[in-house]
Amino acid sequence: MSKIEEALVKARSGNKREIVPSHGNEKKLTRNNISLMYSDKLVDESELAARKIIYPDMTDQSVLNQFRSLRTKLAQRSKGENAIILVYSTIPGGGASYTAINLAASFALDKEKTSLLINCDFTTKPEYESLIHNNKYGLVDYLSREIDIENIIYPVGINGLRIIPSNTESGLFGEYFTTQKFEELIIELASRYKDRYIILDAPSMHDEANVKLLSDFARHALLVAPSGKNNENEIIKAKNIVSPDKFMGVVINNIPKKLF
Amino acid sequence: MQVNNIENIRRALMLAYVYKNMIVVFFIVSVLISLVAAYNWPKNYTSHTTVYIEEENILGPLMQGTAVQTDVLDRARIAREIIFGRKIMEKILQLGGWLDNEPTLLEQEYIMDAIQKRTTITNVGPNLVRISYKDTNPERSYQITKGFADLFTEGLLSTKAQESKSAFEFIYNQVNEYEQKLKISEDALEKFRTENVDFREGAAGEVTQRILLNRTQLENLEQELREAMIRKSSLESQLSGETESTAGLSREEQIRGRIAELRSNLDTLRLSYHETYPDIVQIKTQIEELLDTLKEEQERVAKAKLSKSNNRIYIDESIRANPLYQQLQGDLYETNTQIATLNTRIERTKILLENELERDKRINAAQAKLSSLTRDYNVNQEVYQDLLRRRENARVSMNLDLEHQGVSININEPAYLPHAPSGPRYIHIILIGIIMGIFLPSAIIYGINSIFGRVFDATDIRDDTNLLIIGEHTHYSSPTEIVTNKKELITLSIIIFVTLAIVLSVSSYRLISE
Repeated sequence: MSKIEEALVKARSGNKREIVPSHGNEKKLTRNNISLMYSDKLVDESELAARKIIYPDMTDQSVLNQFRSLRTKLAQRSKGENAIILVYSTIPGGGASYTAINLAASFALDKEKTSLLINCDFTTKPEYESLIHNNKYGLVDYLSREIDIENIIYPVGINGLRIIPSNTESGLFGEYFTTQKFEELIIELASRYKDRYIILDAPSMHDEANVKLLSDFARHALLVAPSGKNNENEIIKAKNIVSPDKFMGVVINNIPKKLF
Repeated sequence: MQVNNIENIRRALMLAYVYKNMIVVFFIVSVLISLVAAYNWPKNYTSHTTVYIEEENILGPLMQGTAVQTDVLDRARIAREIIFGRKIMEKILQLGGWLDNEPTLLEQEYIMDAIQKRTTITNVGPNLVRISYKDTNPERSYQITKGFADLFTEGLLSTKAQESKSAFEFIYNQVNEYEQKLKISEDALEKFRTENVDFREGAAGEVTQRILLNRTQLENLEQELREAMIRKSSLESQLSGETESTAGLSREEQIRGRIAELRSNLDTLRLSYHETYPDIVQIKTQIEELLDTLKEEQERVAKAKLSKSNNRIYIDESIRANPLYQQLQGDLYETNTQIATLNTRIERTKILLENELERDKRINAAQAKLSSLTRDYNVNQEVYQDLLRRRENARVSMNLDLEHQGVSININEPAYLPHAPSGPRYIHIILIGIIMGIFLPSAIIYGINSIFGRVFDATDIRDDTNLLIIGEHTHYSSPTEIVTNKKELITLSIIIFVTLAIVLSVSSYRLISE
């Protein structure tokens, strides 16, 4: 059990801690008014296809089904609890961001659930961040400045899906994940909605230290290994940096389509 | 296994698709290289000839059983040695017209090396040697191959003649040498015979017999001597006092016998007559006299015993006068003479025996020397006779070879003028280029990925790693990607098509131009 979960249990059972009331662009939602989240202006399907994000009517149904199946497996593991899932890859550009956004999207496809994707990889700007209009503040801004939590959570035009971008131009980042503020942020986000899956888009194995740090906040970890880029030993090495009880499994990504 | 094979093919195709650009580039390069190679590939014409050589070293049958032969060599190697020799190669240069441009010696060397490289000489059977020569000019190929066969045959025949000549010379020299040896042993025998005149056949037996005779004689003489000595000691003891006392004692016994006889008579007479009867009186007197004589005799014997104890032979005068005694004395003298004679004879016989033994030793030594000399002589003579016979054989062989009669070498299959070029043809090279262009890069890519153990899907993960594969996600092509992909495929197809078109047109041009 992660320290976040311990904190959550504490927070929920004792109710000693006042949860900061939300304001700004995120409306406070409960199980009953979850439909309010669907009031956003929806993004066009062609735009999703261009960004390689799944949607129900997509041409290649096999991709959709693969993500649905993954979602189901993860939901079974987390036993209905809203879980914090870490997604990291073996190499930079290995498809962690792609898997993370689509996993988030597949959770959002389920009418009962919502998902929140947090981009914790400050080195690259993933494709999905371009979905955000007037992207002003991101995670780095929140951690380094005094910004309200509501200001960094953006709707992206997909029902039930929210994103916290990293929003850093420099690519330079300090030890943000060791700060108290980051921990509090995660607790805050996790305790807000019971049916919200929080997905952390983590850096790849080249930033092993941060993957390790982030895995402390997660309940599950998912390793993305791009097809044909790693050997077994590299995958095992990547698996071993996360504690075994959190490790869910390996997703082999970007497998070329079979010709026959 | 079947499933595995299908999986492998599927994997290879997948890889080929992933690395399609690389494969196409490789394909084009390979096909173009093969086109250039095929176009410029020299047309080679190969001509063959086979030569039958029933080859055996001429010295072999000639020296059979006498000397050990070196093994018969690999025929192709012999042929190579002869053909690639300077003598034949120079003729070949002339024959092929390479000397027309008057090349320098160094250039000639290079040409010769090149010719040797294009020539292959192999054993095709136990007695068959095949010579192949490859050239761009079919006519020259034929000429050179023919030249090789002719020159080789000629060369081998002359070598053969030379060989048998040298064999003859060798045997001739050997004969002379053995003649000398034989003469030396004859001389040695001669010298020995002159030095040992008394030595003749059977001398040894004679000497042995004589030794035996001498030994028997010596033993007989010694026996006689022993007997004479015994006789002598016996005679001496008889002549000594001891014998004498015995004689005395016997006289006493006689006297007692006489007395007893007389007393017996007296007793008989007393039965019939009185004491006074004259016969009785006379007998009584006789007895008394005899008793006196007995007494005297006893005294004499005692005296003799006494004198004997004083170590003095006492011989009574009466005994000396005895004829028997005198006879014994005579015998003793005779025996002494005999002993002396025997001793002299024994000495003489011993000297004779020693002489004979000495002679025996000498004869034995001479015998050993003679047999050694005889043996040498016999051996030399035997070898000499043998060599003489062989020399005559060699002479015949030499004459045979000089007239090229004795060797079985002939051209089994003559060289022919080749019409079709040998080696890979134009179309073969092009096909190789195309096949290589497709399979080589695919194989390389497949091999590299296998070597590095790259994981493409869940099947590449071994069970014992405990890696749980939770999802296998295929590539999600965005609309732009689909378009780009299509364009790419079309471009690649056009490139391949253009390449093949170039190959086809070049090939047809070549066909027409020929």
